[in-house]
Amino acid sequence: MEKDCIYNVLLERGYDEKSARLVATELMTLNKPLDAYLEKWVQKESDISDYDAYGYSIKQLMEERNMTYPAALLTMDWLMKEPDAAVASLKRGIK
Amino acid sequence: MIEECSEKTQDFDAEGMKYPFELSQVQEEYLKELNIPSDVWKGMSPESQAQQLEFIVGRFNEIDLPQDFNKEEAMGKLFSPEILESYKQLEAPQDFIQIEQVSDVLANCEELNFERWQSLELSEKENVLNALEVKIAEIEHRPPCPVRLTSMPSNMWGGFNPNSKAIDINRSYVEASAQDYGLYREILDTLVHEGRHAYQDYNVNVCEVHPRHSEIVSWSESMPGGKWGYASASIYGQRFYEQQAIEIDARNFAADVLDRFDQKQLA
Repeated sequence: MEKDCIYNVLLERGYDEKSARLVATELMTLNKPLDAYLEKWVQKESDISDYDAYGYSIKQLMEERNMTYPAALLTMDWLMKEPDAAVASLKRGIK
Repeated sequence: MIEECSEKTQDFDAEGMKYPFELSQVQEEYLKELNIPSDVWKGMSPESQAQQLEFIVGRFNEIDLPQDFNKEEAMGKLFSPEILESYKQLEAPQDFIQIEQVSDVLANCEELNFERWQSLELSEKENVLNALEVKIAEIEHRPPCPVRLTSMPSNMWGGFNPNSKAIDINRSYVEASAQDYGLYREILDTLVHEGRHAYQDYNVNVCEVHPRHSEIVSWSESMPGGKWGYASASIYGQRFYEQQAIEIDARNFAADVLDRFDQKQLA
């Protein structure tokens, strides 16, 4: 999937230019199966696939932490790549 | 030191409520002795100005001031506007000194004895946090922020609002901190963390007082309007939020302060 395509979709769905640029770049590096979930979401905004790992799920991150789907995908991707760091950060919460 | 200048002038009404602390006339006169007219001040060298400011701060330190005393406000009433402005622009101490001084403020606060903290009403806890913030702000050479207890989602401990310049802390966690030492410690960490955000904001947007310019530059990049802007977890995901410069700095600063506070509690 082209980065420009993701960028434009993010813009259409509420992201500003700066955040769309940064998030689109990161979304290009998603692990499987998250990359496929992203592709489906790009095609249709309501197509939200769930995935869980290390005690967190995409839908939980969206509902409890008010994350957008792209933000939840990136967070889940971080959990898969660096579980210790990601879990510690999520447990720490927001300050 | 003139001993009478060190006496507190604080009275209580019939219901035992404290009046706000006010300097006595003698104390005010003692401090005003060091005032310098604006035109003379402007003609002084930076070194002479710095020395005079040291003398002024020294006289304030001779007076037994309450924890929540706003020195900057008092200086505004007693000294010329130029002196007040110069005081505000004084370079803040190095971080290791700030950490030591802020941890001292926490360690010397009687209300932060956990048993005492547990007995405080929520409004009293809020007052304590506000009094601490005034002291912390003074150490950091920035204006104090109002500390407000507000409703927040459960994953949020607090936040600094760059528009209102207020520090918000999760009300539910402050309430629950009476039953849980871990929560109580997190509340203090949150206060110091958000205060550090206020310090970053002040340095980037108002006046550079932080000794390291390069750090201020890195902070500015992850602030609204900066090169990257601020990365909230809800828009950018948790990793972006966690790893941006201003969050790493605030997290580390608060952790170091709380570590020193823990050591002082044990001593």
